[in-house]
Amino acid sequence: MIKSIKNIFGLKSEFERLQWNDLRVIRTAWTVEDMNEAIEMGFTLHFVDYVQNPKIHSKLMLLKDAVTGKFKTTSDFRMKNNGDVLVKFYHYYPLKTTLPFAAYILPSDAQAGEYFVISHVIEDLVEGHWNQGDVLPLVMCKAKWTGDKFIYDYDPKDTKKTFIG
Amino acid sequence: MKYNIINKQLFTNDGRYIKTLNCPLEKQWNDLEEGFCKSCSKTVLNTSELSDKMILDELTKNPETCIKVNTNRLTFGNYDKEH
Repeated sequence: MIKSIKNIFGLKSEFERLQWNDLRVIRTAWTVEDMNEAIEMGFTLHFVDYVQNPKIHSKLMLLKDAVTGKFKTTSDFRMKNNGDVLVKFYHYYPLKTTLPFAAYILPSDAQAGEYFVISHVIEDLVEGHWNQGDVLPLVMCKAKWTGDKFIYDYDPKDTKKTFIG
Repeated sequence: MKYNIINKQLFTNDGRYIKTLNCPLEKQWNDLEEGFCKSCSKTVLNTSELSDKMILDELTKNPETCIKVNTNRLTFGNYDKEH
């Protein structure tokens, strides 16, 4: 709602004024091997706790494709007629890592106040709700590095938060 | 309240079935005009300020009532009214 009002008046947030392509990209180390490799390459790591958000849900079905005969997964109810259903839909938690933490890979010259693109957000923040029931996590966003943490361009109030029926 | 995202069945916290939230037109709250659905010409009940019992009572009296439920009051799981 706040974003809608801002749009009416042509106001842009600090993040909306930035072009995605103008920002450096921060990648995420999900494994210890990723972390070691990043350190060896001269990057620094910013660790963040990874805590499952019970509001996140996905669903999945396993199909044997009617044309290719190959197995494939789908999360879309509309695909159920595209092959033989081997495993019916069930919902599950889409784990990003088995570790209780992950780390953003920071360039050594990152400056406090610099804006970046986070390519894979560590925390399980809700981005939106699919009308098929899935609750989708935020993946990519712009963020500001303060020197000791990232401030995301994320407003939980802008996600779809209701079911109708 | 308890909600099963697969079969879309909604229950009270103590397990009583309320309604299957399955809008055939896949409406979202933002599609409505102040809660009024033009497609069905009826108002969708905003349950934000209602208790589970109040919602259940309303749906028992008027089963065709459409409702809006905020996800932040839902517990998700494999709930099923057949079991």
